[in-house]
Amino acid sequence: MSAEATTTIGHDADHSHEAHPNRDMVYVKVAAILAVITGIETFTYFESVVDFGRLTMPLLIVCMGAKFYLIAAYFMHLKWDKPILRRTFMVGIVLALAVYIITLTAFRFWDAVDVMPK
Amino acid sequence: MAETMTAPAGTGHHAEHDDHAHVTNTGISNEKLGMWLFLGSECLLFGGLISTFLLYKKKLNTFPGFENTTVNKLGANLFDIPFTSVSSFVLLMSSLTMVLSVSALQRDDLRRTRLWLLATALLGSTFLAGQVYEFTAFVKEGLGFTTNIFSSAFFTLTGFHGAHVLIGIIILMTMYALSMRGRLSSRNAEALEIAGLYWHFVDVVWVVIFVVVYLIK
Repeated sequence: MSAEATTTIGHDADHSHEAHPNRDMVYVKVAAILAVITGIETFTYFESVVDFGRLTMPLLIVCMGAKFYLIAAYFMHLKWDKPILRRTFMVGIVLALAVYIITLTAFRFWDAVDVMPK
Repeated sequence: MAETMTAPAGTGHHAEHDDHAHVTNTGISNEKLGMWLFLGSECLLFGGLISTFLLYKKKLNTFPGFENTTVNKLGANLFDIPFTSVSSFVLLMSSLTMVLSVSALQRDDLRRTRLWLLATALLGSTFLAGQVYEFTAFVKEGLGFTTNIFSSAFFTLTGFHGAHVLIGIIILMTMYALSMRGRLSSRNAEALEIAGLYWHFVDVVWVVIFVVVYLIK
């Protein structure tokens, strides 16, 4: 195990101020982007204002994914933290997605007509 | 194995200030790794609740006894999207104040740390108050927890999220109290960072709920 891979509990690997650069402006910019995306999401609901038609659903999912990424990467520091944390979180997300897509498929959620037992 | 390793150069002087400090072989403190594992498992919890909501939302139209009834109409039509959008914005901004609080503590700026912590708790409380108002409005309209399967799934999902926000606010206020007692500084800034991870996760879950529950028709 390399020396770089060790740390002390309660401290990051490098505790100096250089290890914590001031990223406040980055955070503010990310928050501004998140606010804009939320605004776009909200507008999709009001078809009388902007009608995205068939693009509404994909657009909402892209917006949701973008917000999810921005919060996890910047606010939760996954962009700068050790890869093991990214992998740990990704395992949870992928596992949840896989399990519940299978569950929804088993209940024929994707069928156009409801065929669930009454 | 971990006990036999030595601290890397540059961190030893910190270890000697902290009686509890010891080395981990992942390079990450056990507390932080534990929080990430917990958040990974929370994905499964909320994934289950969201899947159930989706299934029941689809099922609502054909649920025996509820076809073409007034109760059947009481569902997504009740959502006040502008109101919920403002609530979502408030929660997003609470994530910003949270990360600014952690950043301030890492710079040993305790005054700003406390200020941003209070702002985060206040924004979280505003979101929670909005949720209580929304629930109350729904019940007044006749959509209670047991009205139909849609309402049961909706209240369970958003209620669980609200409970997480409430726990987050309690954690934030605990951090604030610790800082007032002088037990929070840049030396243990990771404790606040871990609390922040929980708070951001609550925000991330709402990002999904806002789209899946409220916006997708």
